[in-house]
Amino acid sequence: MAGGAILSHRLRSGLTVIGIVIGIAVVTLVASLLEGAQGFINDTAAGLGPGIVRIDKASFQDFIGDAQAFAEARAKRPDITIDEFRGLRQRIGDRLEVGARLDAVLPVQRGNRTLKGIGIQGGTANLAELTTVRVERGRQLTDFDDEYRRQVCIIGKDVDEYLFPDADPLGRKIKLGGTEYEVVGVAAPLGSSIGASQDGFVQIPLGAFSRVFGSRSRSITILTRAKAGLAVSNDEVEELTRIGMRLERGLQPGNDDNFSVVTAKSIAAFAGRITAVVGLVLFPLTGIALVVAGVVVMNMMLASVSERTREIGIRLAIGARRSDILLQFLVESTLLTLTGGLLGVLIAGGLVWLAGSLTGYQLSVPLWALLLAIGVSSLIGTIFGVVPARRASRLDPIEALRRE
Amino acid sequence: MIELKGVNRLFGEGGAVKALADVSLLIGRGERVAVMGPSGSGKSTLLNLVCGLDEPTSGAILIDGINLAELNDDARTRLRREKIGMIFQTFNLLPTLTACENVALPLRLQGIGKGQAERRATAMLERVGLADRLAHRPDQLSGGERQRIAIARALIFDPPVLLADEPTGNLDSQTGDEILRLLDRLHDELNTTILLVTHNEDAALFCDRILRLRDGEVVREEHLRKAAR
Ligand SMILES: Nc1ncnc2c1ncn2[C@@H]1O[C@H](COP(=O)(O)OP(=O)(O)OP(=O)(O)O)[C@@H](O)[C@H]1O
Ligand SMILES: [Mg+2]
Repeated sequence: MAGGAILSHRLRSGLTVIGIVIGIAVVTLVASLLEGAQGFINDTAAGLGPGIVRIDKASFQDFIGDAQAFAEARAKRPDITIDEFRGLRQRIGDRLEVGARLDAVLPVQRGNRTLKGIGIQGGTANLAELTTVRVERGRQLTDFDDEYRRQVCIIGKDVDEYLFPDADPLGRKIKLGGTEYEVVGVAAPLGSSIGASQDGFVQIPLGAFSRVFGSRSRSITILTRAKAGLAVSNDEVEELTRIGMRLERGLQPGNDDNFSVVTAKSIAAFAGRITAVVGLVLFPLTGIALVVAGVVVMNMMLASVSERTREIGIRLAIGARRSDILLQFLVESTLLTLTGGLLGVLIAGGLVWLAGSLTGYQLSVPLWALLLAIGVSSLIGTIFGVVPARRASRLDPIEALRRE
Repeated sequence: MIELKGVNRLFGEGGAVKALADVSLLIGRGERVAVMGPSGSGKSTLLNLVCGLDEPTSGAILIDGINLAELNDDARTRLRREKIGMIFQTFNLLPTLTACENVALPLRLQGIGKGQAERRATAMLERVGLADRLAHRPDQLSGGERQRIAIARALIFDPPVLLADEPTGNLDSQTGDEILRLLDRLHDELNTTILLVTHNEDAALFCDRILRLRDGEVVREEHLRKAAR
């Protein structure tokens, strides 16, 4: 019966709950995207590997909510140079594995086949121990390759499959930006992280990289970890690396770091802070929007009560208790907002699905968001239904029956 | 069974309208009383008071010795739902419900399941000759048909007391007679106490007693036959 009353005023009910629909849709959408972003960031942290510390010129997670400071740091901080890398390795190399890498994106060619947008990693030989890349066939890069700037490379599975569909790549050559490199190793597949393949890369010796691209113009990334067999905690690795880099740069105790130190832990902390910031801004705003929507629902229910005064009178006259009337109107307003909430979740679900299939990221509406949306939308209906329902239940049946 | 002691019912500011003035009555179990009188003489007001929908300005109304004023709202509602069938002058059907749902509504309010309630409602609608109009809504039915739905709803609990406000007012004399025969049968089977408001002298003859109202006062009482106490 309650549902019937809602249906009989379908258009008005629809307009009334639009606020609820939008509010719930926005919250659900943002919750889903945050959840997806969290997954992405966690994957990034996983790519860094536990116990690995990275030094960058400026990393975004040190500058949350301050894009200007981030841009300034990128412009003004000194580049991390190969000399600094060598100096750092001198200082802490007895306890830590210290490696460096440089990245670029270039097309990769073999014969008339070209792969675009391939990540080129120039790395020191010990990069194998500092990343998750493992060589499956062939050999790893060596210090010898690095020192002599040999034009050799290790290729990812995607590069192998596309450029060498019917040949063994080992010993054959590919072209990177006009220079030929001999394939000496093929990496084991890394799989994909949230929809994007991780296997489209080429690794070359850092020495060769700087010969091709020059090392003056760009800042390198330094990676460190505890040397195999040495008991050095993750925190110690981070401290040693930071202090080593400060000494290398001659920073005085009062000076801030002019470089960024990134660990899996700091990335996770960053993810947490992003979520907190968005939550802090978004949820109160949505809360206000939903309260406004609730007031709209209350007014429409009040109008409905006065329109249906006669119906209420009849129900009271033929034996409905006042509590029955109260319940009837509470159920009606709750069903109304719940329907709006479900519609909102449905719309958010559609948008999340669309975003997922457009970006290739694996996105979905988390169960907690679904339950929260259902709970919150029903609660709004119940809370804002109290006033109209009480008014309905307190009508004088004699007066109500005389209304036409 | 039904007793009114010095009942007054005033309406309007400062009691400008005296709908009922000092009415005292005693109606026995199984007695049938016709209430007659011109428009505005307080007939509907009397019925509303007896079923506990309205409260007297002064005086007391007792049903089976229980003063309605002493019952709380819920208890009075339950009494009205289960013990008193009320056929309203204006039918008071819910426009969004079908005939069957309207008749089943008191049962549903009692907490009876939809299936059983609608079965009983269907049986009752058959008794008033509306078996083929179950799924129609009131606005798809004639005045007489609506009246019969209202009657079916009032009788759904086989109530010991039936208050009928012009139940034959909208019916042709043949259908009206059928309704009166239905009430007769109900009275014979269940010894139902009936208060029947009517403008029709023939319908009034169906009762044991005729009560004539004017301006809220009982102006005459006629005993047609000995009331079965
Ligand atoms: N709720 C009310 N508020 C104000 N006046 C009322 C109310 N109910 C009834 N009255 C007045 O009380 C008087 C008696 O009304 P009532 O409805 O009992 O008359 P009735 O005998 O049933 O008339 P009818 O034959 O036209 O149905 C009328 O003057 C009416 O206007
Ligand atoms: Mg009347």
